[in-house]
Amino acid sequence: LNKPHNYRAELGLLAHLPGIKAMLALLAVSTILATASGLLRLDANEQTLEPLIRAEAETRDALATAMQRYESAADASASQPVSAQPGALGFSVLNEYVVLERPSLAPLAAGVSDLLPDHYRFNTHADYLQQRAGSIDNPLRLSTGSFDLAFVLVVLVPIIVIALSYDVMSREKELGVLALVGAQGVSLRRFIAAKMVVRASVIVATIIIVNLLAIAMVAMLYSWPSMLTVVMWISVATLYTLFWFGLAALTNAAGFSSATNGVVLANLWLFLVIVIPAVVNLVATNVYPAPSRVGLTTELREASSEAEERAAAAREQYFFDHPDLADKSGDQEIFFREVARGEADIARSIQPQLGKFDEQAERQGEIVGWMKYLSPALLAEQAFAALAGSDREYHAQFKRAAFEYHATWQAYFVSRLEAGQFLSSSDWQNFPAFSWDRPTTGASARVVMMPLLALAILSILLLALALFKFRRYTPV
Amino acid sequence: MISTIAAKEFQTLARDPRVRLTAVLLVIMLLVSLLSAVLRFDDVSRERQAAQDLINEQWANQGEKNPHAAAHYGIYAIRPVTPLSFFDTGITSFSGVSIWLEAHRRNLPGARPADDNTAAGPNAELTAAYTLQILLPLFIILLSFQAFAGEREQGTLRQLLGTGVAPLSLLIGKAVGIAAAAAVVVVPVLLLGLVALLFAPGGLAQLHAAAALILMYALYALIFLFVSLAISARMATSQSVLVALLAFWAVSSFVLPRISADFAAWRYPLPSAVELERRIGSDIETGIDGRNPADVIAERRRQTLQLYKADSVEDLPINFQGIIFDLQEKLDAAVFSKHFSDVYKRLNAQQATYGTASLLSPRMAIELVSMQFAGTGLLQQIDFANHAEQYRMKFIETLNRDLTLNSNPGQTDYRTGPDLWKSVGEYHYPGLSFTAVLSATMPLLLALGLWLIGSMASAWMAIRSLRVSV
Repeated sequence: LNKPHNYRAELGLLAHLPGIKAMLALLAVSTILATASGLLRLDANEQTLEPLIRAEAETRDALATAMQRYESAADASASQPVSAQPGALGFSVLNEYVVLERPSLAPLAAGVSDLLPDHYRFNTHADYLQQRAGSIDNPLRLSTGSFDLAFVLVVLVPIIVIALSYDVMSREKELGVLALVGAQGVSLRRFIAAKMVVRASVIVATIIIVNLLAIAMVAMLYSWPSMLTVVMWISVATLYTLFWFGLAALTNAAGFSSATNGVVLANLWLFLVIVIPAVVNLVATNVYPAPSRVGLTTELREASSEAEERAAAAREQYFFDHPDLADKSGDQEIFFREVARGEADIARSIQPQLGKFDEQAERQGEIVGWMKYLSPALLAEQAFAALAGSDREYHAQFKRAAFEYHATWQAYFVSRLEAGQFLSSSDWQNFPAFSWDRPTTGASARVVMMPLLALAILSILLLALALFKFRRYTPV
Repeated sequence: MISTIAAKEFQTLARDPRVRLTAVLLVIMLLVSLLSAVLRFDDVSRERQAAQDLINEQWANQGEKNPHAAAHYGIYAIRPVTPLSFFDTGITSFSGVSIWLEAHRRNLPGARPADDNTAAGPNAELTAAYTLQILLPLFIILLSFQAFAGEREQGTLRQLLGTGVAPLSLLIGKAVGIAAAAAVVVVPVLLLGLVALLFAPGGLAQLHAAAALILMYALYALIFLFVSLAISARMATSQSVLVALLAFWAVSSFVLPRISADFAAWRYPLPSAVELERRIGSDIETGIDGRNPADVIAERRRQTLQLYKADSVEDLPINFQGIIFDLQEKLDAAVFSKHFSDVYKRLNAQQATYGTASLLSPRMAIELVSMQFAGTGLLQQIDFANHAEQYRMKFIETLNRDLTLNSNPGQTDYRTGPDLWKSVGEYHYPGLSFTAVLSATMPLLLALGLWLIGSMASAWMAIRSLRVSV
């Protein structure tokens, strides 16, 4: 009797389920809002950076022109322009912007991208001075989190799935439908199977459509994602949703009343979506606590003191020469050489301390890396962030590449400063350039592979268990 | 009659295994979050205090220096923590805790704790406040969704109404029974928290804030209680009541805060740190009141020479360089103040937008009220930054005055020592008084009050028109 009309009847029932239209509308509106919000967020980031980078390019053009004019004048008595002084140029004039490139799906998951730098403005000062710039943020927004698609999928969709399926069988039982079904000679198992298949298909289809909608918006307004990431993203979303449907099915199969199912599922949601991620965070940050930033500050000062004394003479001279420094390019280069040496000393002694921050963050990442398997919500959230390039790892790789590059940039100027060389036009053309082999689509897909597998196993297990339990389901 | 209804309600709930399940989860989360608060307060307060002490000591023992070199060395203002700031961390994880106070520059607070704890995602911080904001209402919903709809389904509502009980007594009886059940679970844990507060250093000073917090959370729980009772009285089945309440809870706890925060951030965009620096730099160069800074300095030079009847700055009995530094510092400070105020205005506008949206979500109202009472809101962060800036001005002024009065014109080898360093003092942030916090929180308290009145009114109306079947 597992005939098409069975499915059609269930579909018809589903269409008349109270609140289903409201919930689907909520999902559609949330998806559009979340995607739009993600697009606006990235656009705002771009808007703040773009004029700065443009202004820097203009400054450099002007400096390069001054350089050429100086060289073509071939007047040996004229003093070297700023563009020729590696110290003044590197330490106080040039800024080198290094910007994080994001994958196409970036608008869909904010992850930790609002917390970690997406660009650096480098100069020739030492590493530890490149990180000091404070940032201005919306602390309230950071603490509430962004309304992005990943949030909709990880937090809201389970609620919708629960609302649609917490009473999928218990209600039939309470209404006495199951007894009638049995009385008409219809196999109870087939009836249940038909019902579950229809519910699951509708939910899965909805999730796929919603995600395609979001991805289409991103493709048109941001950038085209690769097929592989799209497939991965939708697979994570679908399997995660199926997990919740499986949980609802299993709760139904256990034979509680509808209201009890609702309470049990609400608690499970709370536990898996809110409690476990919070506990994992608590464990990770307590087992491998970040070193104290204020402690670093004091150590930095301690380390600076010695170097400070050595540089003091040069510095004080500088302070008193403030107004008319421009004419004393030679003195200025001596000053910057002092600065470079002093900072190199401090950098050497502070480096171990600085390294500890990255080490602890790395270790925290490792703990979360395996503890995330405790909660499908955390698993899905991290997978989405990885696909969107908004996870800690993506930013850590960018930071590493950026600081490796900074070392090259710094050496370019300091080596010339130490050698007492001036820059020429050809040096200007040979400035180091930042390039980053950012994680490929394949790499992020590999990262998501295990979580995807785990989600698949979990959902299949839950659904199989539910169907198995339904074998003993009593109609009354 | 009221007590009979309340007692019956309480007993039914106490026997319900579903209620016990959530109660256990709630108590565990509260205990874990309070325990971690106690441990973290201990760690962090010691760490901050040690850092501030060390910084003060480094300042005092920096040896003989030119005062201006010392001004460049500067000191750090570190934001101390209070015990309640771990009950509700508010925005403190996402805002800087130390500000470098140095000559010529007003720095942004640095060292955000969240920057170093990004592994599990940004919004996974477990605090007692969060537990009370999210889990307590869920618990209340589970306690009360069947209050009327359940009786309706079981057919006992007819009997109950048949007794001729007054609607008000019925409402109060149910509310008291449910509130008692919630209180039995939550109050002991909160008392434990209160005891921990009393033993924490600085805890006694926050006792009234803690009392206010407990009162606010009680009101918050009552809002959910009355909303639940209203919906339970109006809907036919307890399932539909549960779905409606869970939807209300999820939307007001998770959806609206994020949408509002995103909207506020988009509506009042903030400049990036780099952009802010660029704007400040350009204003410092050109001046903000229509007068070129170089002209202002030239004018001061003329006035000073006139005052001392001298022909050149070399003939002055004071070091004019110190006056230039002082004047420059004040001109710059006005520019910094203009731009920092703009940023703070925007941050406040964002928060006001969020606060307005709390008329749609009681959780957003309690969230802001709670962080302000706990001393971890935007209010306190801005106050800290402004306090540190005022200190910086005084600090730099003292050093410049010493340079002006005690060194000779053009003297580059002038040195001074520990006496001056000590006279500048040590930095200490006192925090805002509770009265100041209270008055700044008034609009939010109003929002919370509106929610309470609205929920009570809707429950009252629903009970008055209570029918056996709907």
